[in-house]
Formats: sequence, structure tokens, C-alpha cells
Amino acid sequence: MARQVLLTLNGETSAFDLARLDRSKLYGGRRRVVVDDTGAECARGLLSEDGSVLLPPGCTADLYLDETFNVVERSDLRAVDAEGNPVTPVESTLGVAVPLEGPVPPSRLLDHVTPTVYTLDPAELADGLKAALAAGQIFEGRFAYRDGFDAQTLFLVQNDVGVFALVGRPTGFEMIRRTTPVPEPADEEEDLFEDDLDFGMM
Amino acid sequence: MPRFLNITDDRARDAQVEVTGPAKPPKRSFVGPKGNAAKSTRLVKTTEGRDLVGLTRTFPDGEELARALVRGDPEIDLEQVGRRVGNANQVWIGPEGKVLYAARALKVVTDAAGAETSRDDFVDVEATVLEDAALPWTGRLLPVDRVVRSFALVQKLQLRHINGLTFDFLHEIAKNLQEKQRMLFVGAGDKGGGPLIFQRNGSPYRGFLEGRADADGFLLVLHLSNLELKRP
Repeated sequence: MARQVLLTLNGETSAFDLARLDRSKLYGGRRRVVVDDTGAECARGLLSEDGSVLLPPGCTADLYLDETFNVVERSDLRAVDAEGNPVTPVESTLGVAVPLEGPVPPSRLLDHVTPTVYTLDPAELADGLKAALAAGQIFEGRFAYRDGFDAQTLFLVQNDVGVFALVGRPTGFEMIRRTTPVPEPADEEEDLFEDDLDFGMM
Repeated sequence: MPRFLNITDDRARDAQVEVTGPAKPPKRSFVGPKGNAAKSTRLVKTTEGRDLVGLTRTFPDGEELARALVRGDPEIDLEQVGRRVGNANQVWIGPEGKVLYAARALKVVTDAAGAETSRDDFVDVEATVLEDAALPWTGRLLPVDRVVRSFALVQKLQLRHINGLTFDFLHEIAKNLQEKQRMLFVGAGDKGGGPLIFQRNGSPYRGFLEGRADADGFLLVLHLSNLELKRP
């Protein structure tokens, strides 16, 4: 059985089945395909710098290696921050009761960038939360889909068609004053919009 | 290199302003059990002609392939397996396993069920957000509550001033929006009805401008959405 999102408000726990809301499910999709002169689809591969080795798809493997070229299993990895301090692992919140905070104002949601959206189907909806969502209230909680090192923020929202979980992290945007210093130029490699083709809205 | 965009206010005045993205998540690196640094590395697993597809091409008969695998190691390129991939060029490989020197790009469209509906020559779609073309004031003001319930705001840009004049310009826009408790719908084109595309072949977005202001400061954020809160 798929794990559920369990959310607790005022001592009552509600359970939701979640499904990722993908653009292709709503709008269809568009993709760029490369074909040869017969119209057959081609695959993307790698050619070594000297041109001597051709690596079709599936010919490479990603492993964690230390400085002595020894493999480190993913289960043995530990995360550290920029100063080398250990980062506490975060366990998945699926199947674990997470307390909700709120209701929060819409500005709290606007202070986060939420690129991940789930549709939530109530398996067990407590009366208090049901009434609050129907009244248009927004709630906030912790969320981690899988074990890792960073939990994100979940916002619980209801509209005319159902209940949604909007998951993301704070934008970090602050009020600008006349004396606010100009931000450092972004790294050349960093692009605000490093994304692939997507024409679902056109 | 800072990114700029050109925006218009409700009095048809336009100005070029700077935009910045959200804060990056904290950088993490990994160490092994003994505390030594561990990095993700891409290694060669097998090479062309030695994967199942290639071996089947070389030994079309299954029995012959099985004998070859027992006799020797045709699936392993002892010179290459386990090497770092390093700097490599991306290439297109045809069905016969050969590198393509002349390729044709197509745009394939599928419906929500995943079925292909059309297949045409791929044509580049140019950016619609340009530094020297002002995004118009559409005048379409939407309640904040309606926007957050209707759209997934998947990307955000903060608008920043570049001099004293643009500070006042942006402050006034933010104050205007805050007083009305509304977000401005932002789009490209003369009337603002087109999608916002920030780079060639980039994702198209709808934009919603939010403003907050106090006596000597402002926060003006362009929220971008390419996903409605609807059920399939």
C-alpha cells in the first residue's frame, strides 16, 4: 500500500493519498526528437574527447568515489555543510504524522517557491481540518518525500476541485531599502531558467 | 552577469530593472564513513557494441551469443570499463549504433493520455522577455487569494532597482498593488497576453506581480506559473 501523508491539526490526524501533479497529465507534452535521414529516432550518447570511445545510453554508471578511487556506498554517505559540519539526516515524512501550523496568510505561501505539487485524496479527513480547508484556510507543515538531508515546506490548500499540497522552500527575498547593497552577480554557470523544452502552455 | 527586464507601470511609464532569483539551497557535500570526501563520478560501464543490443547485433543467434559469453568476455572492454567518463561530447546515435553527422530535429506533441498527436519539424521559439522591450501593464488585477489557489507558483523573480529613479518607480508599483490587495497578471506582447519565455526554447510562464511596501522599502516579486491547480 502506498504511504500516505498524515497531517495533524489540533490533535486530530487526517490521512491523504498523494499523487504528483505533472504538467503532462493536464496539458499533454511536447518533446524534441532527433531522427536520421530515414526518420528513425536517435538516442543521445557520449563520445570521448579523443573520439575513440562511444558510449550509447546505459553505458555509464554514477558512483560515489573517495580520493583513493574507492567506492562509497550511498548508505554510508554522510552530508556535511560548507564548513564541514555534519548535517543531520532527515527521514521521509510519508506515513508519519506531521503537525500542521496555521492557518497562515497567503503571503506566507508567496514567500516560498513551490515547484512541486501533489493532489491529495482524503482517506481520512478530520472534521476540524475539513471545515478549515472549506473555509479557505491555508496550513503549513514539514515535508520530505524520501530520506535525505533537507526537509521542505508543505502548504495545504483547497480550491473548487480538490485539495493540493504545494511543496517548496523559502525564496529568501527581503524588503529592499534605498541602502540595500546590490547583490553579487550570479555565477556564470548558474541560470535562473536552466530548463528543457516545454510548450504545454502554448 | 545580472539579468534585467523592462516593466511598465499603470501610468505607462517603463523602466529597466534588475531581477534576481530565490536563494539557493545550502551547499552540501558528502563524506564516507572514514570522513574522506566522496564525490559522484560517472564511470564507463560498457562501451558501444558490448551492451546487449550490440552483442545481439554481433551474435544474432542466441545460442552463439551464449557460447561467446561462456568462452570469453565479449561484454567487457577491459581497456575502458571502470574509467572516468571525463570530458565527453554529447552526440546522437542512430538505430545502427553509429554516430549521426547530419540530424533532423522534430517536435513531437502528445496529449494528456500520452498518445502522439503530431510530429513536425522543430522550430526554435524565441524568448519573449527582452531587456529592451517593456512588459505592458495589463491592468488585470487578481485577488491574491484567488491566485494562490488557482496556480502553482513554481518560480519567482524579485525586481530590484538600479538607481534612485527606479527605486521610486518600483516602490510606487508595490504600494499600488499592496493597497489594492491584488496581483497583476503579467504577460508578453503588446497587450500582455502572450507567455513569458525567458530564453530561446525555454518554458513559457504566466506571471503574477505581487507588491508589498512600507515607508522606505518595497518588495516586488514576479511569481511565475506553468501549472494550474486542477485535477487530470
